[in-house]
Amino acid sequence: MSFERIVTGGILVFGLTFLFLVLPQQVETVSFGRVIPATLPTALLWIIAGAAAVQMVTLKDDTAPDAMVVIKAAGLLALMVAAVWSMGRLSFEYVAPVLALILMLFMGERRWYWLLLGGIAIPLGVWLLVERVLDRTLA
Amino acid sequence: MVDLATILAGLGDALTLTNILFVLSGVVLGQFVGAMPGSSQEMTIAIAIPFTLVLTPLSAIGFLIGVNKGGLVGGAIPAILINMPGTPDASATALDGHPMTQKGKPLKALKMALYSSVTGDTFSDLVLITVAAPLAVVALKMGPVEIFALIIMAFALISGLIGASVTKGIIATAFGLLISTVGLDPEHSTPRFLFGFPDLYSGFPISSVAIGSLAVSVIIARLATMSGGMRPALHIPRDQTPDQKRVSLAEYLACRFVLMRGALIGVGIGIVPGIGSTAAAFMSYASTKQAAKDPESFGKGDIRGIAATESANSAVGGASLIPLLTLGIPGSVSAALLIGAFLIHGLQPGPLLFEQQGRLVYGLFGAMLIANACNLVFGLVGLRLWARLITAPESIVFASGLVLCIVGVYLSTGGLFGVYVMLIFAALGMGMNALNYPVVIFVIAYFLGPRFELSLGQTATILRGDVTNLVNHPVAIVLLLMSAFSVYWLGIRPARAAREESPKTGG
Repeated sequence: MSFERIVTGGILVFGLTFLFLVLPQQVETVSFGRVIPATLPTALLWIIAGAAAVQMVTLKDDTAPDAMVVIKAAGLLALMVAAVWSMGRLSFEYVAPVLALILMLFMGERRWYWLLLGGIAIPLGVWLLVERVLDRTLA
Repeated sequence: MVDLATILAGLGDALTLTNILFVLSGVVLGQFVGAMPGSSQEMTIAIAIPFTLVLTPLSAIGFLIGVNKGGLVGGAIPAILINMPGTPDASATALDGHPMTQKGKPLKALKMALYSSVTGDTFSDLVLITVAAPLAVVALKMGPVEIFALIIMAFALISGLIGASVTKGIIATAFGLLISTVGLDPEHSTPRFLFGFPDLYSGFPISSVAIGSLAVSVIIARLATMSGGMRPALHIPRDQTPDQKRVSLAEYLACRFVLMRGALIGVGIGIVPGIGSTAAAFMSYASTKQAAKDPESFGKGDIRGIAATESANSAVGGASLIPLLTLGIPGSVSAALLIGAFLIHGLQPGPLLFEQQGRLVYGLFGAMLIANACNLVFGLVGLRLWARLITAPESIVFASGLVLCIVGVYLSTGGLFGVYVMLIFAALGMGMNALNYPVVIFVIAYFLGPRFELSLGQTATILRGDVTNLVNHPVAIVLLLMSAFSVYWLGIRPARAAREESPKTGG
């Protein structure tokens, strides 16, 4: 089975799961009004499930993303999540420069002046602008 | 109808030093971002919106308009100099722009792109200024049923963006609408899909969805595909003859019909939501080539090619605001983001905007004209600077971009929850892009969702649940018929053609 067919199958399962299991629990039942809270989500989930089912049958091309790119993208997202989590525990001015530096090194940047500018000066400049000039707090 | 005093007051507001400075800053930022291949003005608008929270509505919208307009001019620079369009709109500009660079006339090509862009943009803005207010008056006469039909038509028109797969377009649209149902429902105010997160009572934050799916997803995808190599430096030779670096008045006037055709095509396409400036640029290029006596010169450095594409893609901008300001329907990603900015500043785009905030609307029009002037002046001054900045490391731009995304969403949502939501939508956006699901449709559907559901409820009540009562609403019937035609003409027909084309081209 092709990668895209598996994804389409996932969308079909998502649609049906939400329709029959999640929606009844997450949307309150209301007995009045022509358009009740469940009307639109129900219709949309049927459309998603129906379109996914049609796509399962009619799918001809297969778009399989490069595994290495997916791994790198997932790693970068995980890094972002970790950085945001750390910002909640430490604070922005300590975490943001580290995040920016890791990202720049990941991109192959080795010139110290660019690392200094992008990894230290810009994140700290943003922090100064927001916390000191705009008087808003950052994580 | 807005009175003259309001119009003059609005234009006067735009001319204050503060507003001019914010518009100029937006233009400079837009030109810079446009000049960086791989980044886009949409991405910049998405990141910049939360930072405009502390500004007045006019300064904020003027700044964002400046970013949008500056991006269109900046996008042509890498297209012409290194054959790498900074924005998709500029792809057609590279066809003749880069050959001109290879012939030793990079500055001439850049200046023609600038003049053409400003010409098309100004024409488009003048159309917007003269057409928008009367259209808003017509729109005010529409009831909920007609508005509902109009939203259906907006969905039909954006079907032009669905690409080769109709089912993927349908899934993206339905998913965008589904996401918009999270939170309190508009009629009964009962919670939906909260999953125990009280932060979701008011739905997913607009800035988290927009920045996550349009900006963060693109930056991360770009980082994941980067090879790590830095671009070579590019130098514009200083010892050029005046003819190599100037566009004479005679050369500009010789292109007047090309410019006018491009501007008209751009305006026509801009008014219709969903088609976009890239299509306008290629359409204008094709029609100019077809009308030329020497079509074989196109693609080899013909200055008319640049005039055609840049006037058309820039003319889309102003015209795309016509459906946004008069009907509250975004016709492009930039327009959808601007709707978000309007909402954040407490303004509801639509026909009532002219009645309730006429002064602001005319202030915005004034800001647009100022942005065009800034584009011209700063474009001429900054061409060499932007040409050098093309070689600035992407590492700085993208690393700073991601930090700014976090800060922007944190500021607009008031906490880290919004930032986590942004990352979820970034992952979703990457997945959709990788599998060719149209993210633009998803985002526009998300923006239109709450209004769609509200007018659906109102329409069902007015029609008393009986569709045959639609006969009392002829305008709605006409709009629905036009919607059906649009779905076929803009969505199904091109998708079918693309499917038939792909086996032939091997793609």
